[in-house]
Amino acid sequence: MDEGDRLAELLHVENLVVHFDRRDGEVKALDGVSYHVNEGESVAIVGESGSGKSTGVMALLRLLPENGRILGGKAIFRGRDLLQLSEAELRRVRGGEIGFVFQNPLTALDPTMRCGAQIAEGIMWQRRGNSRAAMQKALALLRDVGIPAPEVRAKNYPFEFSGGMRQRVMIALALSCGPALLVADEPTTSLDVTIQAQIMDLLNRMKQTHGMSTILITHDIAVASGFADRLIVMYAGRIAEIAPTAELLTASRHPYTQGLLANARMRRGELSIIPGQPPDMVSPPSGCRFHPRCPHAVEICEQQPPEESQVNDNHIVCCWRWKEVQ
Amino acid sequence: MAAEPLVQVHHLKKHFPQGRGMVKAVDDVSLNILPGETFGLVGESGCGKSTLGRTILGLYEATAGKVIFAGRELGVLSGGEMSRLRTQMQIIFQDPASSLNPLMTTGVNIQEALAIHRVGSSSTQRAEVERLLDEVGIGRQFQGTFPYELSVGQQQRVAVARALALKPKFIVCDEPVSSLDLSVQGQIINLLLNLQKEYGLAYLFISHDLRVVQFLSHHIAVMYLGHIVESGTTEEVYEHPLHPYTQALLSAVPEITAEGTQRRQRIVLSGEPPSPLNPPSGCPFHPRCERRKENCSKAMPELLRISGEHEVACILYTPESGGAESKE
Amino acid sequence: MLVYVLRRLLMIAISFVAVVTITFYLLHAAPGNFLDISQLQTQQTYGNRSQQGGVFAESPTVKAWEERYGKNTPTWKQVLIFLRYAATMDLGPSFRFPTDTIQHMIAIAVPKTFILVLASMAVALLVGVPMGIIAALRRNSWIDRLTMLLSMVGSAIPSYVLAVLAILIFAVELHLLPTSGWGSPKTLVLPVLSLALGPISGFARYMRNSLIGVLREDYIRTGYAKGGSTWQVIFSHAFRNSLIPLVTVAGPQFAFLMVGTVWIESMFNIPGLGSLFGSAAQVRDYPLVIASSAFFALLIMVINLLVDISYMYLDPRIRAAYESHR
Repeated sequence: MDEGDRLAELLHVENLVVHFDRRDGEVKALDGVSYHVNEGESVAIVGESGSGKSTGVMALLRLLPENGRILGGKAIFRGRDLLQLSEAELRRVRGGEIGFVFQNPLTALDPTMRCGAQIAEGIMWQRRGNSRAAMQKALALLRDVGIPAPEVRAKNYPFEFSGGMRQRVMIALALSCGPALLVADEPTTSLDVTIQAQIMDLLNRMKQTHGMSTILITHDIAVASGFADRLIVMYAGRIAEIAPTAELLTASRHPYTQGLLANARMRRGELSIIPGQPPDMVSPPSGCRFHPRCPHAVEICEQQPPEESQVNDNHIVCCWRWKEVQ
Repeated sequence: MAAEPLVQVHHLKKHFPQGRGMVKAVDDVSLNILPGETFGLVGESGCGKSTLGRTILGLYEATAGKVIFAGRELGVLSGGEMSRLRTQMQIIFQDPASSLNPLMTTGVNIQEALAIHRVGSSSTQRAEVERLLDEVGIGRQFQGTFPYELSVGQQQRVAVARALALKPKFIVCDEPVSSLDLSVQGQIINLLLNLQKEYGLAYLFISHDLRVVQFLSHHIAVMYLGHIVESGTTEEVYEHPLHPYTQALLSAVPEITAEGTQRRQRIVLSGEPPSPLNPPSGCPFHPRCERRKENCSKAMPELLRISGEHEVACILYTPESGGAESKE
Repeated sequence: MLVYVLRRLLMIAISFVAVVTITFYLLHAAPGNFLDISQLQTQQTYGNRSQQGGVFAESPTVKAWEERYGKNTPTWKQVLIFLRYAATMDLGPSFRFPTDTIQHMIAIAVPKTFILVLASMAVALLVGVPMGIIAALRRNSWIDRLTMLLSMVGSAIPSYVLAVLAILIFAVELHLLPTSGWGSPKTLVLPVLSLALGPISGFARYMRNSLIGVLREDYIRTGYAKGGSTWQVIFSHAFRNSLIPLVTVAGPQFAFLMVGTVWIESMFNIPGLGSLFGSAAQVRDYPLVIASSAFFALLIMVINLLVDISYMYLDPRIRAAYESHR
């Protein structure tokens, strides 16, 4: 892919702010997050718990839990601002244009409804067919994601599948209406390593055959780097760094990203650690939220949140000291 | 091998009756753990690694086989003797929140270990608790807090402190960092390493995370459906995996190298892990193995030493062929 | 499944024997030898006439009793004799109405109680369940608090107090409904209302909690992610999953209703099983007391078994768990 190639933008998120109401205070989960996804591109959002990586995507389709409030920002998808859509328009986008794969397929599927029916239901709700056509499509999808004997398996309940198979059902469900964007929220976290490999393999295959854009949300930067063209690193509700995968892995400019990479590489004998804990999101640190744990922090880091700096055309970093950090 | 093993496991079996069948969680496992070293146990869910760890400690009664700790066979000890020996073997669990008593303060959680074994007076116990809290990096000022007030990483440090309280020689770490954030994982791993250097602790490190196991362990065993399919030094197993399952497992681990690309050829396994209630005949891995032969379904291959300390349970390898596949 | 049912039936049989045994022993422990009392009563009725001719006219009750159970038989033997007769549904004559057999009396009484209990159950479900649903959907609103307050009041007031109040208001003051009797639908209204109020509150509260819990589950979010409207998601996923556990509450509620009939039928003069039992206990018509309490217990146990079986069929996970335990 040439530097000069300008892919069309599919999704552009600008300054997204989301808070959660909790008994002990207001959780400032997202504090002005901006990112974009191009057509046909696969992107991974990497972060730990509290980073807001899931919230940053769920908020777009207002799939947040009850206590979540979107306080500002824009999400331009195919020319429309998702955050301004009416209920009816939003329903058409959910599933129809943006499909979701959730983390735990055992709880994300209705335990008392047969799997084939759950897929067919999504198709019918999007008015892509009557019940007979929807079921045919569901069977074809199950076959597509690698579930043998789909006619029999479609009648099974979620608990009758193993973890990996269940996730395939979830993927079939997400793809059922041919979305332009597939969001996978920690799809392999609850799975064994060999099954994880199968599922990531499947996602790669689906990405290629269906040609859609994908957003992979994960805490594992190694998984992310094996899948995505571009990586978005988030920390404590803000963007830390965005860059194409190869560039991020070799030339990262944010201390947090570097810490994550060092941890993931885990070379024998030297384990550099990121000290401290993930921050309290009710009263996060002032200035740059990473400063208490940052080996390069200076005075300004505590006082002001860093602005977005362009390392080059495709590489953005939010750090006051990015020039010094190698 | 210069040193006498601290923990010797001989043909250990642990079976759980279930309905009309039997779950053979651990099925004829033998291994040795040297003092002061980390023995890594890897495998996926259902392979029996957690059950093995607990059976070694005597938390489960073994169905067959024996465990010898510091020269003493565990199965034949009296209650009192076993209780005394327990001070030397401890365990750290995966979920610190549920392994700490939520109704007791952090300090009391640790002190309880000392109190049960009547180590010292109440005041010396408290002093020891404070020292331990400092040692694991929490600080004695936290002794009055309750577990829910701590972060998960801090809770796990408390669990480590509690395990250390009785000055054990051997600690079973059952997925101790799996529920922690990546940035905190490194801290706990570092803590475990430092404690090992300081006190000469032996660890049985059970995990599904191959990267962590590789980092910490001196020796490694790979388990599949209750059997050890490969074992050896970390270098032997990670650099030259022989068993097809080990090869697939290692290839499935997403890696980041300096070049930013995958190092190993990815082997994607077909099929599902089998049910322990209804294991395949012969070698449990054969239905998913690309290189299976006719005899694989007939009998479970023996664990044979191939070179150095490297052992494999696979029909493809014999001691004579020394690491190259046999031509059968 | 079959093994489970057989095991339950065995337990029911054992419980039945236990109920009968306990009843027998309790009766004998009650002050006054009941045979002497009936002897006295007979003497009172027949007075001097019995002494004429120098022959002690024996009370027909005593005669009937001794015919069946013999003189001075130990209690445990009486239990066995009863059970033997009960097996063939031959329960003998009652004290008060020696010309009528107990089984016949129960047979005519049961249909009335059945209608009463069924109607009360239906009302409780038709009112309680929607109340719970509305409360859950409008959680913490005034409607939620009002319905929960009403239901708490309803469960606190005993049914017989309510009955008296209802009779006072609707029958005596407003002359809307009859105070007692049986036959027309009008006579059903007050008794059903008094009986049903407890279960209404039970179902409302349980349904509310069940639905609130279900609405928090992951698969509800998946439903929305498929593009479902609020009603589609609730109707298709939330209802079924929250109603299934409700079945487990139906059993105890049924038992509650059965017990309530004792008072309600007496108050409203409905000749059903409850009033049969109640009046028999009052006048110490012991054969009838034993028979009707045993029948009561049997009915409750059988209904509970049916409820449990239906729960197994409704929830596929429970069904599978039982099938694997064979």
